[in-house]
Amino acid sequence: MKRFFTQRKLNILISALAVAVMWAVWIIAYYAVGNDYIIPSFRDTFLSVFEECLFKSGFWISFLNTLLRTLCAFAVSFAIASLLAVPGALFPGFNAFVKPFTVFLRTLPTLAVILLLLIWTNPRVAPVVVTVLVLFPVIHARIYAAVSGIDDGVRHTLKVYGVKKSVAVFRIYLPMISPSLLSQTGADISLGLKVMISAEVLASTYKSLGGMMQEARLFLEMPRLAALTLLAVLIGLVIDVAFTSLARLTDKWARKDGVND
Amino acid sequence: MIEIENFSKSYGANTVYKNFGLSLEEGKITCLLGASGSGKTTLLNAIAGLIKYEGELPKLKCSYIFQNPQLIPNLTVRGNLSLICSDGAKIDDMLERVGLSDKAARYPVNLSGGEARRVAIARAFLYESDILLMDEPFSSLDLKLKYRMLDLFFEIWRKDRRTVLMVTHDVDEAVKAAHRILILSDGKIINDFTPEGEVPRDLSDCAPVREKTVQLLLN
Repeated sequence: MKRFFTQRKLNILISALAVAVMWAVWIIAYYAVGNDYIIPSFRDTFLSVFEECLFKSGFWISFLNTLLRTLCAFAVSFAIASLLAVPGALFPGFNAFVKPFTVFLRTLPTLAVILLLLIWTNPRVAPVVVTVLVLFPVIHARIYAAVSGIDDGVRHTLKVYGVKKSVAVFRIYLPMISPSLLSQTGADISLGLKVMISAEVLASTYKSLGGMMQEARLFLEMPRLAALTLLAVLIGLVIDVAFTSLARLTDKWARKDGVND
Repeated sequence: MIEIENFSKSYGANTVYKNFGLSLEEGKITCLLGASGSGKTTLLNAIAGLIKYEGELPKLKCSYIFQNPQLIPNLTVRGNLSLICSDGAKIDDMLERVGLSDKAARYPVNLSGGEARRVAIARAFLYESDILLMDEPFSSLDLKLKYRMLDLFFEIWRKDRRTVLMVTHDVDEAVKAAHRILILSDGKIINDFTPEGEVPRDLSDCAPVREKTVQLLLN
């Protein structure tokens, strides 16, 4: 007899159960606290989600602004990280020079940086810079580990047969590490979105998700604040799932009999 | 002649070679025979410029057949060959000679062990080098496949006559394939001899040479 519960179906069920647990915690907390200004009701939040998405054009403009800023910050971080991590993994001396910068950025207090950047720049630019500063060391570490992890045999072959460094990087190393990088891109953009919204809240960026949250907090619109938070989580989740699926697709594509020449 | 002089290599306190010297006759196959850990691979890696060493080694353009085929996994068979040779006709000809014309578009993951090794041989001969280094290239193959690979190697080598330095711990492989056999122990050549006859030798005709080599190795 064919088993009804395959592992995949079981995993989906377990994930649904986890969501139900979170929902239950919310409802219990709501009734336990009994104050709509501290924990809003699920019903009000849910209605607020629909109201924001369907009836307020400002939400979509703010959402697009935040998303574009996040993608921009990710692209800049990825470009700088690639430019520094790939040669760093190939030339130890270069890495010794870059390492202090990455260690410094990893330990830099984000909040202090936002406050300084708000003095030096404006509320639209500061969140982008902060997100770059947070994402860069994470992406750099990942690319460095991926290139360093390339089999010594491949490196030796390229060296013995005199393959140019530029060809090795663009034709061999980057395609070899791209599936593992792509699988993490969704998580990186989600992290970037989280940092971006936090920075926008602090900077009170006009027409942004963070700015809207700050506005809701100032006017004590707790259901709206919870709704915006919920929407931010959902957007991050969608991005994460989309990139994970894309990575799975490219991985399958790379495995099958290919004709790349 | 390719001359190696005053070659020294240490790993920490462990000295593998000290002022080692060796002359290789061009167009011949020289085989370094020795037990595991006697420094065979170290010498090849130093000649290929893969490790640091003390002393002077001649600057040579090298082809290298490693113990594993070491193909680039994200390139097809043709991609692996075009990486080191830009002449498409030469690649086609070499693919034909190693019998892989129909598998040129395959990735290494979709090749059998024997096919991957054939690509490694094709790559080594396609690359215009001064010397071909071979590090126990057939050690992990079963007997039948090993001799098929040796036959294929000689089929290409006969037209190419490249200088070859091969290391192995397989006496039969050395006796069959080498013009000259060097026995290496603790970074020193303890015996150097040239068996009679043209390579590849028929092993059934080489019992005395084989016996002598085994005795030298055991001693």
